[in-house]
Amino acid sequence: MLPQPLPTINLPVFEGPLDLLLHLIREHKVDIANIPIEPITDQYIAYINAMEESNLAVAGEFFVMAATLLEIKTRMLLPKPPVEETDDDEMDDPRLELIERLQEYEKFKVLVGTFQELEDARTKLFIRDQANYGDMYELPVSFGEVQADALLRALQMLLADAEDGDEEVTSVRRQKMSLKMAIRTLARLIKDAGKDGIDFLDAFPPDRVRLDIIMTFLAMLELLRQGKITAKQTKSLGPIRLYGDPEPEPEPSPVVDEAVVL
Amino acid sequence: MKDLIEACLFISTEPVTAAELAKIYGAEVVDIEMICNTIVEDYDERGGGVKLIRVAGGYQMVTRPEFADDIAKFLAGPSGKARLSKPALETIAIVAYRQPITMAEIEAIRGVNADGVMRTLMDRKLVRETGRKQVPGRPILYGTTADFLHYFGLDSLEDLPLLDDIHVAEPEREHVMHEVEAAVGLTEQPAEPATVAERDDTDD
Repeated sequence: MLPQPLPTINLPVFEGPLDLLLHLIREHKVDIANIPIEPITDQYIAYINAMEESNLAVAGEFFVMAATLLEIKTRMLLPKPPVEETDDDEMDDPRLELIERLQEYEKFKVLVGTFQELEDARTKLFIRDQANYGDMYELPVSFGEVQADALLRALQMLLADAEDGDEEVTSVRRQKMSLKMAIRTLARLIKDAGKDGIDFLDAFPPDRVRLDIIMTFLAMLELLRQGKITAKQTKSLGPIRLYGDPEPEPEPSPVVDEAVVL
Repeated sequence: MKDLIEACLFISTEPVTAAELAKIYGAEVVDIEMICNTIVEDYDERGGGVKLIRVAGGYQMVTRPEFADDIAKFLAGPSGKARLSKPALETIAIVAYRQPITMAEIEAIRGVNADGVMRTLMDRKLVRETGRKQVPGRPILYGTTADFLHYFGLDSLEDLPLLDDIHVAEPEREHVMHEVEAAVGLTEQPAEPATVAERDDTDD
């Protein structure tokens, strides 16, 4: 397409190609079930060009839709092939699939309003302890129970100030920690700590290289999964402590090897 | 019993389920539910500063909506400041109605990438992983959480309007066909068209 000089227009922001298409359809007050493909396609493409001209990055999804529109347009121009043995009605109109998608998408667009109303109504109701939540909407964690994402958040904190490892010396390779090693190290560490357990942060090697942290974290998950250790958090957003299970000495199960492959 | 239940509801920071109370106090769930519903009505008749609502499968005491602004002043905190964005609402609507659903299926409906939005929804615990779809690649399936119900003040997913009741344009043709079939009186047939219609979504 040659970029034609277009008058300066304000481009509303569209969530995506379907959003833009719906806008065009609505603007022209045409029946969604009977989209005039040709004009809509032209406008759609003009729109993308305008977006590019105003130096907006046009997401790939918009081009995919442009291609779809062009394909439909082409198929509508071509003479119909002799009727094949496909489902008769279904294949007749090349627009059908797109129309169905648009109709479905439009429903969810309507639902945005519904959900917004629900959200509005709900924020007018305050519950006990509300002040403690702040921005993040979260139900309080039951005491003494660690949710998987509490662990994840702790891991992210650790990784945030970890180094990549091989940054300074490129020619010397670190000895990489295997998951088996990590499990053995961690299990010993927790076992040695006895019934007091250890702090989540202390479970990680002191030099805190990314790979080691990840390996240790995986080891922790594996041990938790096997029930050889338990993790406890006494208050919401508080520190997490790890405790060993009194009975068995940890022995990496076959599942561990699968994890290494991953 | 009623006063005891009221006391429990008063001190709890999360929704209390009838099943929970029934277990603790050795009563029947239906009885507890009846008592809770009476308390709901009592509060509504009496007025006052608080009320009892059904939410996320349980009961919870909340302040009355008309005091929202003033309560926010009292808390002096960021109350409900971080509302969900439009894309986030759109995405959560899709997950709510189509769960369990994969990322690719969400993206097929929205026509755009949903990575970032889904991450936000996961961070806010409105959406969670529910398993894996048994298809090649075993993609992750997502569903809504109890926090989702709580956030939107819903008791259960059934509180949401039916998707078929949402009218934007003319009624869909397949919808009409269902009705015709139902009218004709096919007894075993109706289950089939429904599954066929569902499968259409996952085609992409």
